[in-house]
Amino acid sequence: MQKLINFLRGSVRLEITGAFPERFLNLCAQRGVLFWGVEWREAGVLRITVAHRDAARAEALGERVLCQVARLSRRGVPSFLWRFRKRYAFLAGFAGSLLAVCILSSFILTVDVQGNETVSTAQILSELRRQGVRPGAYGPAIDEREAANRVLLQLPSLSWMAINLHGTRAEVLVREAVPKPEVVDERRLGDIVAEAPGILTHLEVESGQAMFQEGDTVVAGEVLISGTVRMDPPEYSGREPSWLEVRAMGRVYARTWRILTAEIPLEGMVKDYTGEAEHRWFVNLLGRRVNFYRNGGISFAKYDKISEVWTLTLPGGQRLPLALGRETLRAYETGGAELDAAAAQTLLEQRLEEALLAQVGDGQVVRTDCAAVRRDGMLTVTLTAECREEIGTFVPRSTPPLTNEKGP
Amino acid sequence: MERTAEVFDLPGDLVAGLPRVEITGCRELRMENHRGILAYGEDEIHISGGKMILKVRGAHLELKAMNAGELLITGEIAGVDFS
Repeated sequence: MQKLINFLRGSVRLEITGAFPERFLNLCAQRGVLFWGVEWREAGVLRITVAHRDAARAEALGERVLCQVARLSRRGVPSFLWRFRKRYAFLAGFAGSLLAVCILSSFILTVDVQGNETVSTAQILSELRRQGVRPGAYGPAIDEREAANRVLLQLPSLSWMAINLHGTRAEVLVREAVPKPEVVDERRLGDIVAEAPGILTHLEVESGQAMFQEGDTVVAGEVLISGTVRMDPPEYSGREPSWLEVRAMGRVYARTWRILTAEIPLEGMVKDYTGEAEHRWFVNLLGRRVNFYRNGGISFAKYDKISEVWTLTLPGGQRLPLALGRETLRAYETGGAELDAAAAQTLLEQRLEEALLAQVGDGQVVRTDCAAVRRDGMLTVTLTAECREEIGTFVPRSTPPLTNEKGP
Repeated sequence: MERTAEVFDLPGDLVAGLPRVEITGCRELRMENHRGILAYGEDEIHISGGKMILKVRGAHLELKAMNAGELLITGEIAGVDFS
C-alpha cells in the first residue's frame, strides 16, 4: 500500500554530498521533509528518496547545511506526467479529450422508454423528439417535467410520464391510461337488427321482445329483438294492450353463408434485374443524416432501393445514435410473364380466408368451399363459407318513442 | 528534570523529554525524542539523545524513517551503547 501511495505521489532519488550529510538528514527530519531509502555510499555521500513535492525543499535545505543535492532519478505518476510537459500537441489533445468528455457527457445519446404496452415506443419517441428530448439534445437545457407534461397532453393514452436524465441516457418511464369502460346508454331506444341473412340458432334476449324463434330464417335488416314491448292488460279487464319503449338488448346467433370473390390476372408484369447496381453510403449521427454522395440524378429508369443500416451498439445491447448505412439501387426492367395458376389460386384462397375471418370476427367458420374459374385472362376464385356467428346489431331509432297506447 | 522524574516516579520521556528506545527482536530499533543523527554508516549509527549519545552497532543498518521526534532503524542490530 505504501508503495502504491509513493508511486501515486511520486518520488525523487537524491544524492547528498557534503562534509556532514547527517546534518542534512536532521534538518529534513526537523522541517518535516519525509525521506526513506537512506543509503550511505561513502564518507560524505548519502542517497535518500523524498516525495516529489518535497524535492525542491530538500534541495534548499541541502544548501543551508553546505551540501550538494543532485537529483538522480524520478519515479511515480508526477514524473511520468512531467515528461509530457513540452509535448504541446499531446497536452492539447489530452485537454481536448477531457473537455470533450465533460461536455459531450451532457448530451443525450440514447432515449430509453419503459413501461409502455399498448402505446408503441416509436410513437412516444416521436412525440419526445417533437418536445426536444432526442439524441443529441443538450441535457441540462431540458426541463424534464415540462417536457413530460407536454408529451402527456399530446398522447392521451398515457396517464403518467417521468423523464430522468442519467448522463447521456434519458430514461423515460410511462404509465398507460386505463381505457374507459363502454357504457350502454339505456335511454337511447332502438332494436336489434340482423346484419346478415341466416338461420337463427340461439337467441338471448335481455331487454325487448324477440320477433323470431330459433330455426327461423331471417334476412339482413330484419328486426330480431324489438325495442317496443307489448304489455297485455289483465284478462277480462276490457282494456287495450299498452306498448313499452325500451332499448333492445341481447345476442342473436345464426348459421350464415358468406360468398367472397377475388380475381387476379393470369399474366403480370415481373421484374428482370439487369445486374447494374449503385451503392450510396451515409452516416446517421444524432438523428442527422450525412450523405457521402452527391445529389445527382439516378441513371436507372426503374430500380429497387435497398437500405442496410449498421447501428453502433454497446455490449449491453444499448444502441448509440451513430449508424452507418448503405443504399443499394438495383436497376430492373419489367416484362410480361404468365403466372403459375395453382400458386395464384392458393394465394387468392388465403386472402379470401383472411377476409372471411375478419368479417366473422368472434364467430366460427364451419365449412368452406372454393371454386376457381379462368375467364378472359383472369383467375376468379369464389369462397363459399358456412359460419356460426352473432348477427344482431343495435340500430337506434330515428323516430321519437311512441307515447300513445296504440300499437306500432 | 531527569532527577525529578525519578523522584516522583514519573515517566522520564514525558516529563524530561528523555530519549525512549524500543528494540523489537534484533532487527528493529525505534527511538523517540532524539536530537538528530551524528554519524551514519552501515555498521554503526550514532544518534544524539540530548545529554547522551546512542550508538547502534550491527550490520546492514538502515535508517528506515525519520522525523523531528522519531526514527526507525532496521538491520542486524548487534548492540546499543550509551555514552
